[in-house]
Amino acid sequence: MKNKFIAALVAIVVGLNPLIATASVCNPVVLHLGFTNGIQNTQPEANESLQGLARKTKSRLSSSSRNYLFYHTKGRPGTGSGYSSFKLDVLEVYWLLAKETVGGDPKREAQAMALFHHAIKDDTAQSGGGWLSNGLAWLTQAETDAQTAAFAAATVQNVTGESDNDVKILRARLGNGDQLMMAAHSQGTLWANAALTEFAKQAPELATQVRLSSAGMAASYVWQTPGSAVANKYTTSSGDKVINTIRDFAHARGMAEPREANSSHSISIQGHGFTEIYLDDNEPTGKAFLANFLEGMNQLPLENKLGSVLTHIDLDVNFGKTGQNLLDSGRWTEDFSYQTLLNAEGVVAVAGKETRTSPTAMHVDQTFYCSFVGGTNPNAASQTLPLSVALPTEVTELAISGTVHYDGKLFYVQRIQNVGAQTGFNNWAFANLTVSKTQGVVSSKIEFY
Amino acid sequence: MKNTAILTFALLLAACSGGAGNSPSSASTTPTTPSAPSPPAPAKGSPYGQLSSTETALVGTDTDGNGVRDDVDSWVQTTYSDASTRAAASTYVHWLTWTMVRSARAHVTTSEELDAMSESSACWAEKAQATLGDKAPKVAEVEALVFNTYARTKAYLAWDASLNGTPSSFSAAPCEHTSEVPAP
Repeated sequence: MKNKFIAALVAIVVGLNPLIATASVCNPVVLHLGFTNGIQNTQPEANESLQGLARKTKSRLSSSSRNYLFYHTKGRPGTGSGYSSFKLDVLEVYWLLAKETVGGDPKREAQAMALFHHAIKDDTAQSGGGWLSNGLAWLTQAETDAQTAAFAAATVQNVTGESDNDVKILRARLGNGDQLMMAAHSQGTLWANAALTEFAKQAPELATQVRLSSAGMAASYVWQTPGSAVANKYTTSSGDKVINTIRDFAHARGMAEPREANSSHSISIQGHGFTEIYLDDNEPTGKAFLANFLEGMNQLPLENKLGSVLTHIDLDVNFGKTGQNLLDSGRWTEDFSYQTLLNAEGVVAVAGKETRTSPTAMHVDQTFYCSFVGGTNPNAASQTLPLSVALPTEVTELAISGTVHYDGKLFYVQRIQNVGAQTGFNNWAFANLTVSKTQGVVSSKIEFY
Repeated sequence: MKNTAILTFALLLAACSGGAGNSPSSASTTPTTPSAPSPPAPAKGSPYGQLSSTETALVGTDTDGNGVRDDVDSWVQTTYSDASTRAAASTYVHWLTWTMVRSARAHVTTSEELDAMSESSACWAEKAQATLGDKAPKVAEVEALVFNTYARTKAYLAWDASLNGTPSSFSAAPCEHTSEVPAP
């Protein structure tokens, strides 16, 4: 009898091999975090913000997830002592806002440039000094103007260079089908909008794998994920002094304005810091940002991709004779099961072993690699696994039942449909086992044919 | 039966062996050909190698040669009570100090180096959070300690500025991925 069940098992293996051979399905889709920083952050400080975000969202990520920093530097080479990194950041804000004002249209770059220089002129002409002329008392106005003009030209080039760099990084990181949930703080949304807009032009299919959530937003909009009906969201505190100032400045000069505040603190805080204000989940602003961020995660099509998180399938194939109740284990004549055991990296955890589970049944565990996420597309919302089972001659009934496990923090267990008594298999049974995932909910069915 | 299992297992491994997938190290977008000469061989006792007078001033007195200036070393010992967090903090301060020497030598920081530094930073933060919670010192506090002179601040900011969009990342388990601080 044992040999017959081994034969059945081998038949299943043979049936699975075409799927197993699809090597491209062996890498589970992974959701990563991303962050673009605002002004006046060193790289370690920006990294600290990303670390804080990672701590708050850790439960939603797998062990394979990475945290990517799209760092935009605080200062620049050759800055010299006469021009602070803060001013350079302000120049970048003006230029990026000017570009947003013309919709990022390259044909309207001259218009953006005019707005940019108008903003610089207005800023430096402000009574008592604006952001660009203030703070360095040892410089004359003429010296400030000269340096500002020089750095304004450099800013245009640097912004282009850094945006291009962001796009390259996005392509490199997401080229394998992975996904990215990105947060942007302050000026970071201007950078993210520019880079993601270009990314979506260059690689529209990959851009669907990215969502963006903004905090303390200096931009006039939040980049929208292509093909998604749900908007990416932002959170800006009504007390955010930095954004309020930028908004007033942009409004007065006909530039695209940062969106209106949509959150507030329970106490009067004018703060702008990402960690202090927007990650503080004891306050409404922090709660709102984190809720938006997690909602963005939920909107990623990862939720509907079997290949991303499916790690484990157990199937019990139960044989019996006509008239036996296969749901009653005490009356099963025989059974065996096979398993696919995948760890987070898609590596086989256990290879074939046999155990007996009851006096009248033999239980066989067998492992397969990527078997169930097989097929042609690991990102598919539905996968069908053809089963072919060689039946012992005396068997006229067959039931398949089991569980499908989803790993990560979305752990689902779904009992696969029990088909009940079947007859007339003539020693072979053929069936399709289909597992689908929609809005994160797994369903499955077995159909004999 | 056993043979069947082994055969299947082997087939599967063969089918999947080419797809490591989520490797953090992709091609750096930073130029990889520094114009400065190779760093000199490390001198005994200093993890930064042979230092010029400028570099010596930046690094400061590091009696035990652990890459951390003595006064910052004392702060680490005082601030953290457990050896594990102290070690993580020391490594991260070593990295921060490294940035000044790297800057002085005008060597380009690669994405891989920045990844390693980020892992160290994340590991330090993880351990400090676990032991001190919200009272754990922030990066800005450590920066203020390490870069406590004009020259040190200038060197650090020059290093930061040189990154100019260099990507970086850290893993979900940073303390499992920390590595030695390289020669600057």
